[in-house]
Amino acid sequence: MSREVGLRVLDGSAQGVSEELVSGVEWEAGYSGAEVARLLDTFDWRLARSGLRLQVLETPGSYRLLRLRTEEAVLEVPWGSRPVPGLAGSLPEGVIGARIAAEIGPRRVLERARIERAVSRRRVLNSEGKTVVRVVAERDATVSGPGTERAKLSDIVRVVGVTGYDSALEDLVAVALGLGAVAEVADDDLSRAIEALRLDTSCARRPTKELDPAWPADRALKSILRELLKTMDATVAGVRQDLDSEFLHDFRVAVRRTRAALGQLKGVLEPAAVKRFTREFRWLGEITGPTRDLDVYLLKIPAYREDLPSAHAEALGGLELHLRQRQRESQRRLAELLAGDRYTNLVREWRLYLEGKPEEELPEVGSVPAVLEVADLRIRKALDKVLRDGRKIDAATPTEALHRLRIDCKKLRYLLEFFRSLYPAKPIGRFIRSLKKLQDNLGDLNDYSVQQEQLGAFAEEMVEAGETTAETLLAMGRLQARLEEGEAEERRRFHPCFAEFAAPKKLSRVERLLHSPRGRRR
Amino acid sequence: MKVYALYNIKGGVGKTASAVNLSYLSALDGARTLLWDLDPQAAATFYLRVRPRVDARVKRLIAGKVAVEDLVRGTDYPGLDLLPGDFRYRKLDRVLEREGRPSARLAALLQPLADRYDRLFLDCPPNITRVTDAVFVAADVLLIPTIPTTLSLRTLDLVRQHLAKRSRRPAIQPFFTMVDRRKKLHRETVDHAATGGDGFLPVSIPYATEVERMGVHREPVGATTPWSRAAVAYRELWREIRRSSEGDESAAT
Repeated sequence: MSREVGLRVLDGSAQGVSEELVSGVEWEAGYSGAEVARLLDTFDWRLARSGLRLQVLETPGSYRLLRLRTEEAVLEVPWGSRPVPGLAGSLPEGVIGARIAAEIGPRRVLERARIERAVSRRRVLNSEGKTVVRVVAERDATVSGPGTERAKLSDIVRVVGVTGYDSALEDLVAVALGLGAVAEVADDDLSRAIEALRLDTSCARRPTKELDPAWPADRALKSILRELLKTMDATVAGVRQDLDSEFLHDFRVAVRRTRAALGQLKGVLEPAAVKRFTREFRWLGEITGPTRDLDVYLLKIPAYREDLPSAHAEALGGLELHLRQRQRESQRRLAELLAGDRYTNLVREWRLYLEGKPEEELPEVGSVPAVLEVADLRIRKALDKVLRDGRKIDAATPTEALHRLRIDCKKLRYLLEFFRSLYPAKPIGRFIRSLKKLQDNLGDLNDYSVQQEQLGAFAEEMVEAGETTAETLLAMGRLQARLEEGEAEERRRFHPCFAEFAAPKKLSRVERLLHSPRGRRR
Repeated sequence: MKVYALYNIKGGVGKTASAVNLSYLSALDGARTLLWDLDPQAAATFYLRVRPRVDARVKRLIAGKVAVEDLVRGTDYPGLDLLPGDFRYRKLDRVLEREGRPSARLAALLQPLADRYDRLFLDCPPNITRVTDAVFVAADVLLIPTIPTTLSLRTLDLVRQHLAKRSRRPAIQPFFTMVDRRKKLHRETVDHAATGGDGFLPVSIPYATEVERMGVHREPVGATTPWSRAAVAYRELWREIRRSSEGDESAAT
């Protein structure tokens, strides 16, 4: 497949170097003039992290291309006047779209940076008049991102190969390096933009704060909560604009973690503050719930379609339409609330509370229990509760008990993740993975059960509004049956899943983890 | 990956010009497209300015000893790649015969391409041979360029009869090429087909200098003379093919 090599111009101009490169070979001039490269990626850099580079290349009045660079090849498709891609549905059909869709999932592709430059293109031809390699001089380039200053980029010459004509590319690169005026650079447009704008692409979804075991628990806890507030700050704009469903998902996870921390660690922070913020964060959980539920439903529609016979699958269109309308309404209300006073005040006061006290006013080490002590104790309590309640569950236990167990597992999971850095990495990681398997089972079980309930409610709403057809209702009936089957299946899987999680050998390993003396090797 | 085969028992019907122009238009949709020049005359390869040289690799290719991707050449058009033709493809028949199970061999060759391309166009040699029989199994759609004459319609019937015996057969989509409206026979044949049930696509390619001159320009007509009658006709034809084979109402513009 075709390759591309970037050459940084050390001496002279990009124009001069590329002219020198093609002297003595047959070549033809291509476009010369302004070019804009819009560099696209998701909010959390999913494409870049998978080694993909996506951009729309525009030259005024000339061409517009969607360009995907993978580790093996550069793939281009003419993009005409189509808008810059966003969600997976707006990607081109076929292999390029599929490759991108597989990485972005439900996320939206956004313009993360924009390079404006002057280019001169040349095509090197063989004796058949066939293009065998392309030479592009890029100069006067500047890069900017949303909310960043504009930065200058150095001039480069790009040598772009054509599939099946590798030797032409290699020959030209060898000549270029021989000239001594250039140095090979491995970086592409995005890498150059990241460097110039100092963009942070690490984007750890669940930042784990490194804690010192000897820290007073309140100080450690506040630092965890500050990280969660950072996530809320970073995602709230995307939630308000409904860029994609992941913004709300991440926002809600941060809210839930905050609530879990407040609830689990009552004795550690000031009781009055805990009470007040607990109430406010509960409110935040409540107002974000309905939109998230609808998002989840909409995300599952394609899978439901696959499950149903084709006639029913088509009739689900009516349900999808209803869900989209509901989601839009619910999203609008949510956006209003998040722009309102209550949220603004909550965030301001919460930030003050978490950051307000200067370092020196913090309690002395020893006056409050150390974070490790608190972590050991809380994890043990949460684990005991999961084990106690899980063991009571049999075939006759009502679904609500499994739902409560799911919540308890979540609390345990959050504690483990908050305090992960206090324990040896391998065993704590293993324990979290084992818990995650159980959580997956309980989560699916809960989804199936909640979705059945909601489906009934949607059907009623749709009938009342007179906006449904018999076909759609029949399809929803089929879906209801499918969801019931799914629930029963997950219910059957619960016991093996729980038995695996609560295997004595595993638990004794966790015991050792929690009993290990203070000041252990981290 | 959707597989289109350009085929006619008769030669000289504008098959290769159609293969080049349609695959070019397919790439313009933004679909990754590969054109495989299976004709030993390698005319499609010539049109796209690629040297027809597969070396002695035909045998090794069929035997699975050389990867088909290694023979691919990028064309001058984004999204369009070519598997060049070669005079040695005349031996393809014997090689397939010797290796046995021609259809399975061809299917195995195409398999790794399915993840890399959205559409494959096969420019087939004329006549009915082992190669074309294998193509009939691999193709989703058989595009049959036909000159509007009585003899040409007869050969189309022969193809239909040949395929009728098979359990797995591609959709047959004939279309008229090299139509000269000045000729009474051409006019009558095209008009008659429009009302008959022969399944002809409703767009015809005119007899045009631009198409003949593809051998001089060595480019698809859409690239040299995008507003010529032939280029416009190919665009309309491609839109029809997409509509009937891929159910795409929005089709290329």
